[in-house]
Amino acid sequence: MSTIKQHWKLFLSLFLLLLGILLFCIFYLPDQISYQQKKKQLTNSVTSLQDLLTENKKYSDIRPLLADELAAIEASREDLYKQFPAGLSEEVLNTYVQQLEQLFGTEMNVSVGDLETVTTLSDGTSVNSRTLTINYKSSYADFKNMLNYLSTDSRVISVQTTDLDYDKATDIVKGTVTIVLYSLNIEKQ
Amino acid sequence: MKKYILTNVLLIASVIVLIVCAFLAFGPRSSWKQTIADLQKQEQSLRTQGAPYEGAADEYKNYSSKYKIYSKDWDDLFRSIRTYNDNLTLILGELDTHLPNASSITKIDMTADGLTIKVSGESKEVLAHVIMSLQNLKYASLKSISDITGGTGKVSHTTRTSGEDIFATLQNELKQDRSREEHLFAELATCGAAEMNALIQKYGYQHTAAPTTGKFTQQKAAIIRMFSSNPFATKKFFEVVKYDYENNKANSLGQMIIDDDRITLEVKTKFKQIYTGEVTDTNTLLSYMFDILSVITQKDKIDTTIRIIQNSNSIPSATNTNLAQWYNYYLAKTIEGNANDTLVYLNKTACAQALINNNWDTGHTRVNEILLKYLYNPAVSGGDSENPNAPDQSTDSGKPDTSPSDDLFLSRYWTWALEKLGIAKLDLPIPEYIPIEIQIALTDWGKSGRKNELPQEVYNWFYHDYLPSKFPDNSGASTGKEGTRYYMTCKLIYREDVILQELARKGLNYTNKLEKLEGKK
Repeated sequence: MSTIKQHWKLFLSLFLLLLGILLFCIFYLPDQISYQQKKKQLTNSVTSLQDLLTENKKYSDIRPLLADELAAIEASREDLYKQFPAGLSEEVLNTYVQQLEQLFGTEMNVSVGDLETVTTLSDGTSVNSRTLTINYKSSYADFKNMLNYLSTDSRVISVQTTDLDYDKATDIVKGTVTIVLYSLNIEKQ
Repeated sequence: MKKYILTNVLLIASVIVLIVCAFLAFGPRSSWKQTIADLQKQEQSLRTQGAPYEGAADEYKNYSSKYKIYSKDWDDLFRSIRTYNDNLTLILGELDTHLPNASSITKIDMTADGLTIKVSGESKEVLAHVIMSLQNLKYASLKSISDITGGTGKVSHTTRTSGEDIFATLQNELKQDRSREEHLFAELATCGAAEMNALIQKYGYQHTAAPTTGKFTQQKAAIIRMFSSNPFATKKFFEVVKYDYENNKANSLGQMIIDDDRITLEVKTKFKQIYTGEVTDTNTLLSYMFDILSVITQKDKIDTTIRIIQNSNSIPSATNTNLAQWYNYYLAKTIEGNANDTLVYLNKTACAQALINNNWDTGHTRVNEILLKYLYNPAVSGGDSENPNAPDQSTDSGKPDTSPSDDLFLSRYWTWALEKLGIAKLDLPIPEYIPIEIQIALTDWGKSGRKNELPQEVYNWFYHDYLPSKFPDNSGASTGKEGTRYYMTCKLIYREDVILQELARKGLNYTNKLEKLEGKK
């Protein structure tokens, strides 16, 4: 007791120091941490809201047009697809070849290839092709007429490869011609 | 007494600590509250402001991604459908009209690449006419000519007729022909070493002024001119500097630069990176070139620079160009005093745009011509790999291989030149495998601005000696002799726009593709 009395100032100093540290630890630190967290959260929220507002404002002018544009995209896609036949059966192709034979007075020996997928589009629609391999014999003029017919035909059809010999003396073109017809297999998603 | 003071000081300090802690514990709370309240207010305000616009960006992103898919589908579809009927019809129509009557097509092969026709003619003159006609087709471009045969024999490339003016008619027609420049280069690329040597002996460039030594101003001008206009020389120089340092360390150009206190550390570092091989990236090397030029042409270093240039041919190198000859050439031209009179100067922006965008149509016409002809000519990257009849260049000692990276190097070189020089001086970089004497002759011609006029002597050689040599010797098969026919195979390339036009006629019009919304605005 006498020691306390003798060094009361020292003990009081220690007590006050401890009290100060306690106050700091109990009242300051937790609240400071909580404050910083909340401030950070709100600052982030404000920043992202500002960015979002800027971004949204940027597109606000064209927003009313978007629905029409999306519809136009679909319409444009459908218009494109309409240009193709839905399928190419062997019968249809044989009829087509007979038509060519009659039109151009040619000798044709035809084999029809399998249906092949050329490419598949994002909506699942596939672009298909079917190849006609034709052993061909006609006059040069008729060969050119046939090419001209193919190019003006509304069907999407084309000579793909040819390997033709031409005899100028007899004006006969003979060899092999491959013709490809395209079709679409539309699969609506 | 001392203890008393110490105790009191401790007490006062404790009180101060307590006060500070108490202030920290309770003081800032109001300020914190205010800050949080302000932020909450700002957040609320932004939410209110944003409400009318909410979702606009998401809706646009949705549209944008759908457009992207649509656009890709559209392109994929048009890429996958190929119609060649129009091309064939138009090309055959043109051939019927333009080919000489004395010629005839005996075989037609068509693939996705183009059309190969075998043509026969009564005489060599007829085939020469056919070549000319094919070069002028509107609906196809002539890619290559091969398998030239006469009678029953195949052409021997080493057979050369002389003095026979069988191409007189062709020569007259050629005066109107603008594509002979490419033709010349393509043919030069197929020359054998013996033919090249003969050509060099006959038509190699002769300087009117002999290179002299000791004239600093001229030497400096020649070096600067060489490195700012000749990518092959620049590329070789990088290698030479490195070799010089590795083999003549104490007396090397690199060491001289390092030892020179007047040169900044930055420039020294750049030079060191070159001679130590630390930097090999072309872009970086070229970005250093401006600084390098300023130091290698200093008065006390120019002799060393010239020494390593003159000795450059003895070093192992991946770049097959004769740096010493190029230097002598530029020096001679500088001495002759026509350093600047015939160079082609170009607008920087237009050139850079053309290079960056690869958009040759909107770039400067001259850039288009030069880059397309010399930098992107198939011959530069090693010739026509699809033509099995093309001579094997790799085994021909007269035509060293070009590095596969040359195209890239050249492209970057010009980008550098355009950026750093402000204007580009286009000395024409001619394919490396053509010997330097011929390169010089053609470079002079190219710079002369007479782009539609070949030097008469080269012209004469090409059409009187070289082309006739491609045809059979006349022994037993004279021109037009009855019963003898000549044949050749020509490859023609389709026109893409004709394919698109035909598809459009069939209802598949590529230009019907919708534009993206921003594009419309």
